[in-house]
Amino acid sequence: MGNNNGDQVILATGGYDHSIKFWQAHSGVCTRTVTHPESQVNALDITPDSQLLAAAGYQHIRMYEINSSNPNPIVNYEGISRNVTAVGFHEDGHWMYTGGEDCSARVWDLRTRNLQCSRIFQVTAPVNCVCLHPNQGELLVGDQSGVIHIWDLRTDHNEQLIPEQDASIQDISIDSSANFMAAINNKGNCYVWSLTPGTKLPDGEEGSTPTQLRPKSRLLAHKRYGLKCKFSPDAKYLATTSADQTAKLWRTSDFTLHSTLQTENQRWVWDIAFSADSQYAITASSDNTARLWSIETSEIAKEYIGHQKAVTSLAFQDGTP
Amino acid sequence: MAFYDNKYWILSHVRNSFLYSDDTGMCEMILQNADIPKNIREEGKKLWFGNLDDSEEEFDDDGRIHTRSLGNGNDDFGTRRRRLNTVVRLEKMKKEQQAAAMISTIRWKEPDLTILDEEKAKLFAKKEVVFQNYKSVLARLMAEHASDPDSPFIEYAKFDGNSQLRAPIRTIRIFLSMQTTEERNFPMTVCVIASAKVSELIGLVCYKYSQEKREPPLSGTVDNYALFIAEDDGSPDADFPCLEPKEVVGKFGFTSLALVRSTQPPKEVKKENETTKTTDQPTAEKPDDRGTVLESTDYQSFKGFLLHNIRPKTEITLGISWDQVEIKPCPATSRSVTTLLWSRPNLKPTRLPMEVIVDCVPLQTVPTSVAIMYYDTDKRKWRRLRIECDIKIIEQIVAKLKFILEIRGGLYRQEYLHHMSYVSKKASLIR
Repeated sequence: MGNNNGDQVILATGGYDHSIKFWQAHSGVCTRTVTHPESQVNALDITPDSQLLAAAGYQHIRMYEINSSNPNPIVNYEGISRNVTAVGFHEDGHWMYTGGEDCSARVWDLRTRNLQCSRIFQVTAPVNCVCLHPNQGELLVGDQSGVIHIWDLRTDHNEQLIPEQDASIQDISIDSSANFMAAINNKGNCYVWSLTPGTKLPDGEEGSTPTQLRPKSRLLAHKRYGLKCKFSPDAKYLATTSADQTAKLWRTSDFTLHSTLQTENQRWVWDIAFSADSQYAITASSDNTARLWSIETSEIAKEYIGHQKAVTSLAFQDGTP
Repeated sequence: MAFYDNKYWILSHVRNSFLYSDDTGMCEMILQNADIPKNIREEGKKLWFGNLDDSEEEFDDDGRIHTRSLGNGNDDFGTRRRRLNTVVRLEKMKKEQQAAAMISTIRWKEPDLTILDEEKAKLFAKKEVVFQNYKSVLARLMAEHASDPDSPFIEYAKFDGNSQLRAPIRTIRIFLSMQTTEERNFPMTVCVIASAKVSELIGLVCYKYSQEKREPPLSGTVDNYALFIAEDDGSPDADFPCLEPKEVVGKFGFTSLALVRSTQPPKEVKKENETTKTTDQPTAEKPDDRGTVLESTDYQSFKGFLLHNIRPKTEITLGISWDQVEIKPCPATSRSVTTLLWSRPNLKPTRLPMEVIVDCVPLQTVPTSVAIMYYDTDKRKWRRLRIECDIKIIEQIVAKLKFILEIRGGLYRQEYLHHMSYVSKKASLIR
């Protein structure tokens, strides 16, 4: 198995037990466990070519080969202090972006070993989340002081918006058509904006104006900490997860509640991912279990049991990215 | 942050922080009398451990969370534990070094401010956003496998010890008696976390068996299967009863076990101090088996001679029981003048607790004698007792001690076995 033939379903989970597990999503069987020593896993993401899994931990990002039995990482990115809280990739795999408690968002040039074109964006509070706009040119950075920064990578121009004073931004999500952006904070409130793409700069200058945001809705989604928010691939649903032990699905047409994914043993729901057809969602919880839910029936279709401690992040790729 | 919903964890954390950061000792005085309420403690333990049930090892009643301690926590073995720790840590470091050598490290490089605009334009160009509808491979696979029954033993998959960095594990070879004669010779190697019970190990073996699609397929639940000590050829040793399902795997030092299907769930083996035997016998065991176990751990004494390096041998009675090995010198009977001169009257009776006994082997050099190896905690070194006696008695002594040692396990024995396997590996490499 070397190349992505578009048929691969990759599910990886990580958390506090110093291991990352790969699962056969349709059967619940754990196919492989790799070691992630000395640090919890804060975030996971799969490279666009489906070859590597990036795990963000304490002061490093480790890359693991997906189609191999190697229990150790093959690359270790370091030189950062404190926890790396977010990781993601440009769609062509040219660069990787991270955010961390050191109050910065960084861009790592993956084309060469010497990180030729690295970039850094400093803010004044620890960064909790970083989201890449589908236009591949803007990064949205959410920090603990409640500010969302929009960083134009081409021009270095940045804008700020504060949906709610002093409410730490936990996660930001943009739907794949770039029509909406959602941000959830530690009060459990989820804010939604509608997006309009920037226009080309006049006089033939390179680049364009930044994306415009217009506030659309505010969801009082949960009464406890919000942890993650994510749009479904078909943009019909917005999922929010929380410390209240549930994940909620909201209709993007009118932002009413569609369903709640909850079950007795489930504790804090740390992460969520959708299947490519938006029919299934996978949640990661601190009861050491990840679960596959059917969106239509809100029932659990599969459970992924094997971690010894809380599962705090997952990465899921359903066929062609 | 994953534990911030656990009240007990938060309270303990706050208490500990007060205790350790206060130099005046006032906090300690106050907190000593103020315990965390029992209901929060119980709830906290449940939430903290979830599936693992080893709460008593980490929580203490005064609210302090202790780190897990090795072995029995007996402080007499303090220095002994340090030595074991070093050996384990050195091995771990060696493994980590080897693993680290294979990993390439890339360090963050501060951005080069002279990067050309063209470079930036190329790398960070914005693209047109187009909506794409992807097919879900997962949905297709779910539909295809919808009729597949869930693996009945999937709940035991979590006891697999592969890649468990921190929890102690046991690697055991399992001979599967339900397979054909040829297949039976190739045992399944299973790596299980040491805190699992025997019934959970059986579940893990069944899970791996069904995962690997071995034939014939298993039926029933873990209660229908039992693990026996395996003989050299892989067949279950019928002299001993099966392993107790509720016992923790970490207690045993067996490296080979045999999985057998039994028609009835095995009954519990009574403790050795009970004299009555139950009338209804489980079909998996022969009626005499339980008796053999009880007898094997009862006190037994043997007559023989204790060999010394310089002195001539002294007559002794060797007493072996579950807890200790006893050497009692026999009172002087008719002796010649020479022996009276040589034998010192101060050969005191020796009692060695079974924890320090590590092995018992017939001596190669002196045919009718046996050596009992143990660890001298006072002098901090390995020592050997040599006893000469009848051939038949030697066999009995060796069998009894080996049986007790196998079941008890123990720190010293483990280290000894580890050392012996290392020595034999080295020897075989030289050859």
